[in-house]
Amino acid sequence: MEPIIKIEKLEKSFGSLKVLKGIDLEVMPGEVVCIIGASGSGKSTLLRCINLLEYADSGHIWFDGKDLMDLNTNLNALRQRIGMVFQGFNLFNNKNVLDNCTMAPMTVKKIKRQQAEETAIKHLKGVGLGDFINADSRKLSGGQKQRVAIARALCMEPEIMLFDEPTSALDPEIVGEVLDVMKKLAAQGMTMIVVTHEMAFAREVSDRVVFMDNGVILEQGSPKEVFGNPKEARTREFLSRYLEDK
Amino acid sequence: MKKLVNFIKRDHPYVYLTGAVLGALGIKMASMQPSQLSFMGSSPAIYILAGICGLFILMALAALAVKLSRWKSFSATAFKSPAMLKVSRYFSYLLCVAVLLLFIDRPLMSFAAMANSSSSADSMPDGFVPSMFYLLHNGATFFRMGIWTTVRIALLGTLIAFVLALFMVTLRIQKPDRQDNDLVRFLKYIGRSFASIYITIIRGTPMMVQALIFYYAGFGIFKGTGMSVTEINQVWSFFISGLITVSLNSTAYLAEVLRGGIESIDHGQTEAARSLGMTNWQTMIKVVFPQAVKNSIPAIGNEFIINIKDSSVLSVIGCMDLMYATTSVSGIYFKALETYCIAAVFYLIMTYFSSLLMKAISRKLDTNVKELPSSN
Repeated sequence: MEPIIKIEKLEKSFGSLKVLKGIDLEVMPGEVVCIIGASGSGKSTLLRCINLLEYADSGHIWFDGKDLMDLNTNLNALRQRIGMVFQGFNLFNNKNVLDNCTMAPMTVKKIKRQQAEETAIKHLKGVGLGDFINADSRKLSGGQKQRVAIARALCMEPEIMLFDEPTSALDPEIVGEVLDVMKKLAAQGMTMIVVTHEMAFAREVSDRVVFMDNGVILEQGSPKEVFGNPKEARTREFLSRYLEDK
Repeated sequence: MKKLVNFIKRDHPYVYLTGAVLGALGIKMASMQPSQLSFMGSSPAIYILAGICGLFILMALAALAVKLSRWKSFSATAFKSPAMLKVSRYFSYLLCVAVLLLFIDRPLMSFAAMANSSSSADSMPDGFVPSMFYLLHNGATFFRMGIWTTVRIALLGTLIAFVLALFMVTLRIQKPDRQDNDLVRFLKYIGRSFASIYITIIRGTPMMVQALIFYYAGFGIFKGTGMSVTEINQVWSFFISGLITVSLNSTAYLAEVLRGGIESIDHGQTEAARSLGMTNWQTMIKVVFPQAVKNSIPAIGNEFIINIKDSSVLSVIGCMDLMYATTSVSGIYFKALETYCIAAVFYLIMTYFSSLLMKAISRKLDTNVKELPSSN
């Protein structure tokens, strides 16, 4: 089987600060990969480079066999197939919940309103927000906003979903409702790359855990390997902070 | 309504003091000479109303005497009993009505009578305010035409400027994209520079100078096509050139307003739209502009109000706005100060009501929705 995403020697600097120092990563279809690591280790930047919200300086990103770094690649066409969920939700403030979900399918894929709304309602019900389709997106709680954001991404029927710390802006009581939706999505076989600080989630749901430190992938493997018996001292040190109280 | 009932039922402080002052004013007004328009004249009604004022003053004096003699135990006296408080309260309401009636009958009606007689006078009456009424009445055609022109120029000018500003700000915010070829990069650079230079020049020069330049430039262009002066005046009228001046001037200011509005939109909105596969252009049209315009509405309303006032400089090119009309009236009657005071009042009325309207619109559109303070 071909990997859906293949990253090779990816490098990225912000000014003089080198954030990514040669990243190699492959993600297979249907795989759930969690990227963990300390803040500033380059996790989010890596994720944002995958759908070109940041342009990497050098290296290659192949998505379904097409090189995203090639200047002739139609990025908008590929971005449609890559869903993204942000830490800050980023719901469109000028739209209600349903319109948030139907806007992109209608403008980008030219789908008829009725059909787009049916799809949207299906996905909104899937994240447990069937009763909120006409709500003002600004007035929802954080957890509800993030679930709308997931439904919005799903409405484009992406082949892979990127999650950029989806629960970091939520209070501990609300985190669960978003993680449940993500677990359900993983169970349905969605390919997912999740940048997260939720170690329990990473341990339970992911097929592979990637530990990033200081711009490189230091260690990767099954959750059992990484959490159970980390090879690198830095991984052990990082995880001890999270696992102490378990 | 409920508020009013509550107000009437509530005890108020300083009833005697305020009542006594009002009563004194009432008696003073009742002793004024009745004007032609006075509806009570010297009838007994006046004496009854003045009597109410007098009675209240007497009651207030009595209260004062008791208060002075029993400084410490005043609250134990009859004046502080609930019944007396109630009586004094309702009496004070009666007093208010009486003073209001007196006010309408004497000062207000004499003012109206003065305005009436000055307006219909055959020659300029004496005194500042009577002259103003005389000028207002005799120059009414001028003022009406001037106000109508000013309103049209401000309204149309702001609308046209808004549309142009949308184009201008679109040019202004063009940034070269990673995938653009050299031609697109060059065009974007040209567009951005044009917008930036335009905004700098327009904002850095007075509108009066712009008006003169546009007028004479337009005149010259039409002259070049071989038209006669009469023909040019029909096409390139003072109104049209004034309107174009205001529009082009406001475009620069509104473009900056809109740019501020666009920059105030969270970058995450753009990222979310782009991550869904929307193009830069679709993102602008569907996500950024609607929010930016909505946020800019108070500032756009402000620009409209500024245009009402600043269109006065168009009188230099002979545009028949309120300022030009005022100057004409003052030239006819040789009363400059009075005429310009009338113009000031008209401008004030226009700007004040426009600002009320703008506030109502922003409230209706809910421009600043209060978001929950926490991210959750």
